[in-house]
Amino acid sequence: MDDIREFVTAKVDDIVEAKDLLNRLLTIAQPQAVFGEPIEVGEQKVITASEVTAGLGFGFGAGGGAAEPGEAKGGVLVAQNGPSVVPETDEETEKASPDAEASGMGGGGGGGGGASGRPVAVISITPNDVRVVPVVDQTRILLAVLSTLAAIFLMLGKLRRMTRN
Amino acid sequence: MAGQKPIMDWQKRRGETIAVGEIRVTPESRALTVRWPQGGLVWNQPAAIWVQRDGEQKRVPIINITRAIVWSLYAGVALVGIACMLRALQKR
Repeated sequence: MDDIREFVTAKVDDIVEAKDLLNRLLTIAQPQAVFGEPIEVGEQKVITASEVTAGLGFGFGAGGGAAEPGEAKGGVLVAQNGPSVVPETDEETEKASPDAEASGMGGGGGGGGGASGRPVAVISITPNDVRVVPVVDQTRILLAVLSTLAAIFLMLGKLRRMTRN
Repeated sequence: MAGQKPIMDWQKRRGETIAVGEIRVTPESRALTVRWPQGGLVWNQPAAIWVQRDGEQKRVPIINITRAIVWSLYAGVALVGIACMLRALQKR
């Protein structure tokens, strides 16, 4: 029983670690996560600005229970109205007694997470001027255009079929 | 419940100021934080930069052009869909 208790207690430590991880995740909400370190190019300083998304989830569970009379416990089958195996020694009598405690405990946990980042703009600072140059994600736009066209063609096709009928 | 963090938080935060010559630039980000007992989600994006020059301060917004284009396309599809539905109803 002590071993099982130790195992479950170790899982509690894991919850603490998971909560620490969650607190570390929340540091992504700081501006430092979005704006990069300034890069010096001559007199000019360049900063990248990105969009960052991160998520995390975890779960833990533990439980235990006692065996019903009639269930196998400690290698000895206990019958509803007493032991089915006639004990020969005092030790066996103790093991096979219907009042003997038989219980078990177990625990487990799991989690997952993900993060993504995408550049949004580049900020260029010179001693005379500040410029914000947007970063255009052509792949994402192309995918959006293709899905938009597909949706429009589907709708027009459906409209044509409806008007024919 | 004292000291407990809110479940949902939408905040604007300013970063460290960067100085180049007479110009001082302070970045600003906005972050959405959703937190539940066994997890959390953070969405952080650049909002603007504050440019300080000759004693004047000006806010320069950072526009996410990709997102603007993508959402415009989706809005266009939604409008076309509504137009198609209305036309179909009229013809019936």
